[in-house]
Amino acid sequence: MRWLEIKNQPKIKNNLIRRAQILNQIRGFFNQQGFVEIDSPLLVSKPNMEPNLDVMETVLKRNDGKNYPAFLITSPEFALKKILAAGLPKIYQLGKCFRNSEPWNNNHNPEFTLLEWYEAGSSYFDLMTQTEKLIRFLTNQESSLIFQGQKINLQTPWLRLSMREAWLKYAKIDLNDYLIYDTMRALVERKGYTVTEDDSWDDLFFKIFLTEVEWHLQDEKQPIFLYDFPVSMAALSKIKKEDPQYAERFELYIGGLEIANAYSELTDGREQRRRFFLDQTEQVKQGRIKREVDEDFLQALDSGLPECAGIALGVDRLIMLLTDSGDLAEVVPLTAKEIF
Amino acid sequence: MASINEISKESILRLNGEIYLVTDFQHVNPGKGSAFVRTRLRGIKTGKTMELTFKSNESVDLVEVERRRMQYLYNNGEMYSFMDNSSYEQIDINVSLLEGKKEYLKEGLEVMVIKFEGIPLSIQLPNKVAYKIIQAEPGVKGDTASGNVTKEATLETGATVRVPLFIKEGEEIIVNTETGLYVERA
Repeated sequence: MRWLEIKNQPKIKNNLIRRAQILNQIRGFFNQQGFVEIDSPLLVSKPNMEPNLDVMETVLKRNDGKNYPAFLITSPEFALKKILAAGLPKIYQLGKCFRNSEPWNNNHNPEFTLLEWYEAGSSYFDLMTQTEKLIRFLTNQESSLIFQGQKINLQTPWLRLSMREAWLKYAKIDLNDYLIYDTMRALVERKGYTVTEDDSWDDLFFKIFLTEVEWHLQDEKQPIFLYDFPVSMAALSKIKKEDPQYAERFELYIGGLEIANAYSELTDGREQRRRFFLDQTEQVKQGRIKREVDEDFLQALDSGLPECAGIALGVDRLIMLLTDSGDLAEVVPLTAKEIF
Repeated sequence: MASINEISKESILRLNGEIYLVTDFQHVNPGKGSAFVRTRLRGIKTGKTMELTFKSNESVDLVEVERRRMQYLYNNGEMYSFMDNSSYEQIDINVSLLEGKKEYLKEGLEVMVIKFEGIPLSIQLPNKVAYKIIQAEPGVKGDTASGNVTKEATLETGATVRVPLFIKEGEEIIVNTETGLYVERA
């Protein structure tokens, strides 16, 4: 029974107090800069389209007997972009998100806290600087922190590596030579990995990335912004004008944890619609229910979403870093493992 | 054939004609991709270790191994000796195969020895084992305020473990051999 653990272990009790302070400090950081906090719905009718995320489904019932299939959000992205299109240029949401069919381990919980913020007129590189400022603010400008026995240097600017540079540096492979399915497949086979007929280019990419690249990011002993992802992983980000093989997306890694995911946001409604169609095909291929497209969202894009960048940051994981906790269960009041 | 999702530590895989022992594995879910299983493998014949990542819905060739209950006797530094209590058969296992486990071996401990085609590959320890504490500082009550509710203690095997302040030298405690953590008083 976890509440007993909270009672018996001062460290967890202190973590919960620190957690409350951090949530407050995050709000202070953004409110001070003129951001407006938006608490958009967690229950929606058209969920996030990403095929690799599984949504939680329920039934919304009205007192007159009308029933609606309803979903819990995996991220507040769609609602926040609608608010941006409605004319609020600096917004953030700090709240819960839900993801089904994921492991319940030391850095995943089906219900978790996400901080997502958007700024009109900013690029994804601007967001890197702002993220550095936020985290340094939360650590009281300390030049380093200790996480699970490792000292992480927090002095800015943090390391910025493109995906291509990271592959070259750690795996000694030039990703540009393997952007086509056949060449990547041959590479993966040559290196001794298994290849199955339904492996997509992304799957093959990950087999190498997870084994030979991602692991090494921790060795740098500082936070790393890994940016410019292959275009197949663009999700809702803009394709790079200078190099359409890559998309303007970055992820922040600290202490081996993936802390944040950010984009220069795609504002082209037609391109977004095309990607949603591909997502639906992939959803069906993965044996999941086909989700309906949020037409209201596409309308917001068409009506003029301002050029902007947005970022989603895992607050529970951030609190793990700030309290030197190796398990998410130590920084969250109750996890699924204790409830179910 | 079995799903890679079903593997556990000490599973044996056949891959490209070679036999490998799974020494470690982790389920990885990049939110941007499918689910994967990252593994650390050791070639049975070559002894070489390598890391490999599979998609979690892939099937792999899991190989049957022989598991035999044996008792730990002693070691000479390099070779650790175990005996089968019913057949009195004795085998020696090289210390290199006992990483992370040798510090929990005490005389008479019953373990599961995993063999493939007669060759010992690894051992499985019982999850919870009782050990005597041979060295521990006396716990000072005042420590709890700083959040220090544990202190270091040395087991009869020489391994160190963190224990609650009230545990004294000479006491027996139960340790989880998988995590290395104190469980309770014996």
